[in-house]
Amino acid sequence: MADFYDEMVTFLKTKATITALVGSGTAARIFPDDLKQGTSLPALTIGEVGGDQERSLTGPVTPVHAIVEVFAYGATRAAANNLSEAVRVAISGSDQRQNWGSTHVAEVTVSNYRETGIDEPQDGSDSKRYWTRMIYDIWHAHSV
Amino acid sequence: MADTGHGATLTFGTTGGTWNCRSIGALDQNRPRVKTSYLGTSAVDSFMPGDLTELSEVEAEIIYASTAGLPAIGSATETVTITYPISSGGNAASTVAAAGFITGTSYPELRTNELQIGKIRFSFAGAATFTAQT
Repeated sequence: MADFYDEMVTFLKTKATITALVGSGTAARIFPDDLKQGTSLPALTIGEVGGDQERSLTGPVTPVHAIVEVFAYGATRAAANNLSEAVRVAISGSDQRQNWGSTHVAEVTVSNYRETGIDEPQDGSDSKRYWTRMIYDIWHAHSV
Repeated sequence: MADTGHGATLTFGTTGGTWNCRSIGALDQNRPRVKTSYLGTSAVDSFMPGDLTELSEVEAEIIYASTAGLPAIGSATETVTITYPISSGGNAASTVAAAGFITGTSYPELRTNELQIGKIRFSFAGAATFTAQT
């Protein structure tokens, strides 16, 4: 079974509302855990920050419960919020039971709605980096 | 030695099926007591054992699968076996088994962010036999 992070990224890249903001294909600005140095904005980072796997008396069961943190970065507050909202609609909209590649996603709910902040300018720059963070509970199929 | 319940299984000899149990409830066995106190009894009530041992129903919680559903409620007895996990050093698991029948089932509550959990209730038809781990 394909890695869940890869499936999620591939799924986001199928959404025109996402690729219009972060680019498409191999140039899409979607990264695991942290932005690459010098990445232009807007951009996304996706981190899996916990969750749990239910068990029966005889072993683990699927689906698993993944807690996924998505940071949307932008050069302005509006840009970061806009990208964050595009992700929210794409993955937790009305039709939540869907397949992300070969991974069946049973449920996506927002468990922590919109925390915002800024990264202060780094040396050699006077540009702030605005971010919007959302945390999702995602129940998805997983090999046992 | 002491052990957890992880690894236990529940099987129905005729109904069959593979049930991913999340828990298998306790089987209570109680012999009622019959009060024998009378007006001349002093200090403490007196009792004698009742004639028959009572067995409780047992309820198992299962991870519900839409492909399997729940078993039919039994109209005839079948061999029901609770197999305990093999404790350290053992080879063959201990069991509690007897003729029994499914007395009830519950389809799961449906809630966001929660697994579907079904329930199977059964009763032994008579005395259950314990077979020790070897």
